[in-house]
Amino acid sequence: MGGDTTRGAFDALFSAYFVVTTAAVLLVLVALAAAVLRGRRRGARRGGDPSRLEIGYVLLLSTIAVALMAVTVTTELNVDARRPAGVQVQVVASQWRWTFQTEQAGHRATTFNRLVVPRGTTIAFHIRSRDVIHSMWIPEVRFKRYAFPDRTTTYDLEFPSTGTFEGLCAQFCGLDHDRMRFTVQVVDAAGFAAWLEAHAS
Amino acid sequence: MTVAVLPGRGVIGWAAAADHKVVALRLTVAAAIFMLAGGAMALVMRAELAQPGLQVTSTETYNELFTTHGSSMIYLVMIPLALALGAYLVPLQIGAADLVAPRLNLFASWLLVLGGISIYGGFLTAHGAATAGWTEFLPLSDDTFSPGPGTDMWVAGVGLANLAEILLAGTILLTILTRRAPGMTMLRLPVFTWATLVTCLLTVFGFPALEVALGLIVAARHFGAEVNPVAYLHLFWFFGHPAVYVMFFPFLGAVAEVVQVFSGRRLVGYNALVLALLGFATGSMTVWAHHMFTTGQVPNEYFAITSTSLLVFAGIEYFDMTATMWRGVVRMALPMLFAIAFLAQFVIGGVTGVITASPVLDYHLNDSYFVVGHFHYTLFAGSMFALFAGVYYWFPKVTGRFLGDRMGRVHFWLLVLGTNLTFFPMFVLGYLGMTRRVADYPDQPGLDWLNLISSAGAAVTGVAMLVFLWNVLVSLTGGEPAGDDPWGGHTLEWATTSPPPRHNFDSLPPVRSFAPLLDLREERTL
Repeated sequence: MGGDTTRGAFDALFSAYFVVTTAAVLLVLVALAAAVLRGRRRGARRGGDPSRLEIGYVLLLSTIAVALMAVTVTTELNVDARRPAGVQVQVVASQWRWTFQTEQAGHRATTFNRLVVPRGTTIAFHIRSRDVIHSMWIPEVRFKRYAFPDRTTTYDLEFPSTGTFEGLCAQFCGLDHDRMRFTVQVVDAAGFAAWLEAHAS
Repeated sequence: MTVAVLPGRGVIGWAAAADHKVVALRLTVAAAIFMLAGGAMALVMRAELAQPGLQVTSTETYNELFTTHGSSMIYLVMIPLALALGAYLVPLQIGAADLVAPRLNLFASWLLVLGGISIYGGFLTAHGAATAGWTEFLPLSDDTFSPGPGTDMWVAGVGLANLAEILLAGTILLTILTRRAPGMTMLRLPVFTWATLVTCLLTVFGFPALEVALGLIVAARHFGAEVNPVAYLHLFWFFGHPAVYVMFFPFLGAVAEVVQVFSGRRLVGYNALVLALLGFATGSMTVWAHHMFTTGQVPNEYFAITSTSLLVFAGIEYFDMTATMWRGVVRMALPMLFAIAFLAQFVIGGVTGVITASPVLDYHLNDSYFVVGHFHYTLFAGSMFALFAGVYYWFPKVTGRFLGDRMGRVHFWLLVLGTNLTFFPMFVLGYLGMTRRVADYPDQPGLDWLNLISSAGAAVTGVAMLVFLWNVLVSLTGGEPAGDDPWGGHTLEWATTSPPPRHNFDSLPPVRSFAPLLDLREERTL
């Protein structure tokens, strides 16, 4: 479901969930209001055994649950699938700073609190922490991932559009957690190659 | 007000009483004090967050505040209150004279108070109180990153409170299994008692994992152990997720009692509801790592599937309660108002839980204000409202007096307004990219006015809670006398005096269903 990017997958899935959950909330509110209004009218009561209705209702709920599971697992497997990546980024999170080592075709540049990436291509991130658990969140691409001190975790991201975006630490990591932010600069392929060449160490 | 016969007089007699009712009230008073403290901290935090920049607290103080707020509300308020309700009501609902092991309950109630004092005592130490959140993940909580005795006192305090909760849950569980009145089979247990039974099962099976996790923190802080941070996450959430339902089921059970009585009929779908509770509880032991979707260390598909499946059980509970109202004669007294508000608001907490149960959605929403909004809709807009339904309903049983109706209605409407103003904007804030546990946030469009609305709502919520507190204090001595069974109750607690005597019952009516008093009334009118 959705595009191949985390952003596209999130947006499509969120729209579907938003419709289903909003409908569920409205249905509950209407049912409650109807039950209260009817319940407050004195007089005719009772009626037949509702257990058949309840069985039907449970079957319907189960169907909805299974449908949500199917679409959610399919999307997740697609988003988490590894792809061949032309650009590798080593991310080191530490109290309270981000270090990015960006590499393409043998050129390598190191930046602090600033990530420069090309648009429209798969980028492999290898994230670890130097101290406590952190979490790298880029709201623009609807993705975050923990950084652990004792292991490296790898994931792919693709940035669909150029521009400058916010990145931040999402997992509480101590005193200056709220200032552990970085910028993401997404440029076109030629601009990225030029930047990397100029900043390569 | 005479609550029960006490060993000795006055405060000391009350402090040393082992009667389940006094134990429960002692826990309730302690939890209420911690709730006031935790609530005051929430108001300070919302004042800080009303605008971007730092105006009210330093970052360090803010970190102490959110840690102690969350720790209070979970370990010292909602879990103890969930068990206190059971400790008070279960013996009365099943026709028993007391809980089993009364002195163990007395001991547990003081363990909890000690635990709370230890957590709060951290504020008096050199480095201040613990600052690593109610979760205290490693290695952030080790001696390198959280030096000072505040974190040690937090560990000791949570360990004591958790132990108290395990002990209480154990005695309540044993009481249900062994002390039921003649005729009360398991499928004639009141719904609240069933809800408490599954709560105790979750506590007994889930909560020991927290003691082990705390042990890892001690090992890391004092014995130089290198703890695998993912192992800590697993242990913590193996406790942490069942804990969520411990803070939900008893309150849901209270609402189910209120809905039946104020609809003037037996619950529709009793067997289905009991089965749903058992399924819900079993399922809730299999979902813990949905808190770890963004770690990259767990099979996300499995936990997404188990978590999403829980919506079926929740749906059954909604069906049965709505059907009970639909087929009953509804009286809109205060307990019923709170029960209906619980049902209407909890569903928002529920569906946002379904959203975060989807890994790809959680990749964006995890650790954001969306999650803060989600769990406050379940715990405050949900469980807290259900607790109030129970308090307005059972206050006459405990004290012999009604809570004031007019002030109760002011409390209700202010609380509905305040709650939704406070917590609804949080969903949008999280979606826009605001992370949790921050004293400050960037001055970005949207973040400022949404935070301001949330803070204004918190102030309204604070006023509502003060109205409630005032109502309780006034009604304890000046409330309208209620008699033994003011609402036309269905279950055995309404067959004794208000307040009940030390031994609870002089005689018991026959038990032929889960609504024995309703049976009696219907026989008389035949």
